Amino acid sequence: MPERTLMGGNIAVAEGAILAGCQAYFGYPITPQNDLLEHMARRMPAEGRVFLQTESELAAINMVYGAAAVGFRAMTSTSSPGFSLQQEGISYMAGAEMPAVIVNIMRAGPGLGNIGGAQGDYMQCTRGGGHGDYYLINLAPSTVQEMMDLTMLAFDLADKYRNPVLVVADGFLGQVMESVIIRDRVKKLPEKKWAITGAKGRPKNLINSFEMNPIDHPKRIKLLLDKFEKMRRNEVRYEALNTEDADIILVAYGSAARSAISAMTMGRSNKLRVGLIRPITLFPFPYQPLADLADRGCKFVVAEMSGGQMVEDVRIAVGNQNEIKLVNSYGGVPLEADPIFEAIDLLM
Amino acid sequence: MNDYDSVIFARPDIMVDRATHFCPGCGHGIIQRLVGEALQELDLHERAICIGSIGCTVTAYEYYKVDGMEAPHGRAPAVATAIKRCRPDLVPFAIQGDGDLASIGTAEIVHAAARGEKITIIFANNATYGMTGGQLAPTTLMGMYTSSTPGGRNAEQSGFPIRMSEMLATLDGPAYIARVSVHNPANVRKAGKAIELAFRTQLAGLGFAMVEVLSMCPINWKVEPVQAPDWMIANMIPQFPLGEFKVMPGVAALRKGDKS
Amino acid sequence: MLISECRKTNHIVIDKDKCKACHYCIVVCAREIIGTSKEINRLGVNYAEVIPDKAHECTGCKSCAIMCPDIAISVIRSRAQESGAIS
Repeated sequence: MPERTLMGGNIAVAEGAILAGCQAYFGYPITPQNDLLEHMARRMPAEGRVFLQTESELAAINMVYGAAAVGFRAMTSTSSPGFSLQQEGISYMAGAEMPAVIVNIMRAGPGLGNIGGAQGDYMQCTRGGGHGDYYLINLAPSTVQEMMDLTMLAFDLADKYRNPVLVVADGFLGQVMESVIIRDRVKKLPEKKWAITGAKGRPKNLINSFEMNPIDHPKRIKLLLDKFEKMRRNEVRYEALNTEDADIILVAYGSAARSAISAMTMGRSNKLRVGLIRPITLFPFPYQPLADLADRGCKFVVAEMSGGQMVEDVRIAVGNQNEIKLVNSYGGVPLEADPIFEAIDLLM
Repeated sequence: MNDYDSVIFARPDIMVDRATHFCPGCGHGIIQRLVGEALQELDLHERAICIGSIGCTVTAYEYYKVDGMEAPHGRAPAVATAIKRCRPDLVPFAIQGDGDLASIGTAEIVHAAARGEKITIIFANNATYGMTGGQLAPTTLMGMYTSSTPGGRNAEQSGFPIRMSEMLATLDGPAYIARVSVHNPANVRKAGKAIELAFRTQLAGLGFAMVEVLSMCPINWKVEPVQAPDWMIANMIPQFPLGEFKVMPGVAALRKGDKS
Repeated sequence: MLISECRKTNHIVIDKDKCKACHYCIVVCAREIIGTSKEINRLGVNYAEVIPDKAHECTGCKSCAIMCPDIAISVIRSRAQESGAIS
């Protein structure tokens, strides 16, 4: 009988990281993920692993970079304003091909914004976020169980591709408490021959993103671009609910998906043929399943907690012929099921 | 050479046999060699991690036969902190310029020092931003021409130069902080000793060690290389006095074992 | 042993293709045994070289090598007088 317990979303991320063998955590307090940092402050030293509260998110991401360079599974967590600060470090890590897990518990922006949950970092998260040609796999949990499971998956994908991976959630999901199955601990961590562990018995290793000779740089970028193409082919993840006969497809992720599921249930009980596509990877985005549904003539309702960002990816997937309605909330206000249901009703 | 010859000075083996990318007369070349001599003397081939920063130190890791990595501008102390905390057996060090350490990286160096991180930082101070063409640095002298203060640095616009060694020495975390110079052989020898002591401080686990090295930048000081040492004496040293600003008892004890 | 024979026992070797002609070595040499070549090296500068007539005056003090930013100078101390041979 697997062990079950009641757990908050942020704590599930922390415990998932520990189960996945996270060896170093560096973080800075920012609402709404302070409980994640505080939980790590207690648990990491108890597990004999590295924990440090840093002087800023800038320092935290650079410490993650240093830890990754010596071959450690390393993580930081933050919220939107701190995530902005981390773009430089993430870009360097993508350029140097360093694995790491970055958790963004999104809050309302722009600027200081609001501590309420939001999904307003979507573009920043899915388009690299920092300077230069790179992407990060974005994993978007929608339940506390997924907060744990996708954090564990993030470490594996980071090592698989030698690239940072983002776990993208929001402030509401971080606080919600649900029943969770505690997964098994990862027993064996992958070997990392490229790590800088002291040049003992081998030529020296270098971790960098810089090419002294400008002629060599395009080759390096091509390797990265091929990597992202591989991600697009192999790592798309999404959930499809009730889409087989649906006329209207809801598209939502994270907390918005929870409300969308309620709206879908309301729709179905009113004999409306509603389905849901819930992206689990925001990058690579599930363009294909949406395109297939568009070919069938479906209409789409995009439900997100932002001014309208994922809706652009849905438009790219679906083309210009099918109707898309955006239902959204922003500024830290949760998106409820009723407005989504009303949109479904109107479209019918 | 015959059987009775001995080489009493040569490139340390731990340094790659190659030309440097520095300008003629640049102090960085001397500083990098002193670091190489310390790494060699302390037998750190298999433990040292060279962290290159931004500016003229960006390719520092190309000059040593040890593992190396690149850090974003100013962040080397944070990167070194993580390396040391994850792998205390490794010996991370960074060479940073005045932009890297005293401008964009001020938070990182202050907090690494305050936490007493067991890392070694070599701070090359030439009062200018060399790599990018001679702009204002936090250490630029009053009245000094730079390409972004063409009328000379004045207090109204750009404030006053920062003395990093004195500032960091007020913290409890550092074990060893010294300022040296490389403008003549006697000072180069002293600088070499200070740099080696900064590494030995890390090896003994005593805490944060930084050596600020006043360095010549003839190009941006607008002098011929042979005039640079005199420029150093006349202008840099009065603003940045040489000396030791923090020497914990444990470090002083290390120095007693000094061969010379 | 005569002083002049002691001085024959040290010499420096300058790697001319690393020299950038900064002249630090020339300035710090107390015996003034280093000058500049009339030739240019790969970098296009008149590199530093030991003045042939003054080579025997090298004391092996290493000041030149200590100041060289390019690690272009090696210093060799010789006990050639014991074998009677001079390299």
